[in-house]
Amino acid sequence: MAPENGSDTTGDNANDETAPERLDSSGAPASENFGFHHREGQPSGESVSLTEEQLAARKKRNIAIAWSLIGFMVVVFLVTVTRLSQNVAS
Amino acid sequence: MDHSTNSSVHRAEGEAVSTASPRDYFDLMKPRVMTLVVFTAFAGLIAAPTDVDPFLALISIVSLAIGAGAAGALNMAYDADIDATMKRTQKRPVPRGAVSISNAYGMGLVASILSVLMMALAANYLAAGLLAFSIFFYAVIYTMILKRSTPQNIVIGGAAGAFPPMIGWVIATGEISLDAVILFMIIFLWTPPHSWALALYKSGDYAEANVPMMPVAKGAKSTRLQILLYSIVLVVFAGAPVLTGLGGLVYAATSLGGGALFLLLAWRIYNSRAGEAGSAEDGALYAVRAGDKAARDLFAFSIGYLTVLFAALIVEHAFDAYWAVPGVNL
Repeated sequence: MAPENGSDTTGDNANDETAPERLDSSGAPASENFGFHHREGQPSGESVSLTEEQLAARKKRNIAIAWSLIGFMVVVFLVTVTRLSQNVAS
Repeated sequence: MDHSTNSSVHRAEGEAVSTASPRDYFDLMKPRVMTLVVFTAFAGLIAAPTDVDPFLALISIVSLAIGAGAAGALNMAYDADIDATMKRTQKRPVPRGAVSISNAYGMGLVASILSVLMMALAANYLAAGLLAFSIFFYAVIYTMILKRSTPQNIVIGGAAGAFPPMIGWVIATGEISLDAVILFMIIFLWTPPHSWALALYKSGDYAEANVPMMPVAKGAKSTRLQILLYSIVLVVFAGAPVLTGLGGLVYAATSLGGGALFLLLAWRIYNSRAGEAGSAEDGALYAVRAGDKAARDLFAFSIGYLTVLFAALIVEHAFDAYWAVPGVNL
């Protein structure tokens, strides 16, 4: 798969000085990114603005994960104490 | 580190921004299946001849429920393509687009690990090992291997759903006894007629999704015969707890009455043309075409049958309602 931002030097235009300078994914000239370029599946540097709905959903998920972790910790603690007390009693 | 409330986030290319709610993730765990898992495991726990700390028993059952839910999430992640094709499953969180496949896998794996750890801590290593194996069996052996390759998929894969009462028993006793195996076998034998009854009246869905369920691979007539045969074996075997003394008079009466009705409905399916009309337009679980009502009736009744059977064990052992059947206890 060919790179997207102009680092391809194997094509016919690789040494063509009259060709227009290629831009990287952020719109900057590819020559300014020192050979670093975006790869598929990697962070592109692009950003998106979350809608209110997306923000609310993310907050709900975060809260649910937090409660789950707290619950897990409490359960592990209580189970450990119960097991210990059983072992001590026996 | 930027702690601002800036709502701009860096995204991997092509990745959608999720609006999934906690409820979507809960739905991934197949709550209805979890209910039956909890119930049958509880029956195994109560019927076992050993007292267990109520708090540890509760945590163990919750661990089992989470483990079963984790297996469900892994199943939904892998079967997203099938679920998107079938009307009955199109509204599940993954095909609906609410939860991504990778997130479903992530949740399934994390919940699997945590549930097994909790089981090991609260119960014993054998119960934890059985839970881990049942998750592996359902997610890998059934979902990834059997489901798409053989019409015997749910016959073999049914073992995954049969583990809960055995695990419940092991939570209490720490060992696998004959009675635990009998409880396992009851659900194992119950699964084919239950699943094939559904497959008969949803055969169009399965055919469209290229899942070789029995009605799709061998035809409706063969499936109807196999439902009848498995039902006979199930109903006879369901009497086994009476022979070992696990089930008393209440269980025996329930098993006889429920078994008779089960056989009647299986006989009605055998003499019907169920499975030859294709799936109903409505994707709902109980939506059915006119000719398939016998299949829908057995599917619905089979859930009640299993519930009542295990409820009888719970009543006998939890509420001192156990009276041995004269002359048959070994």
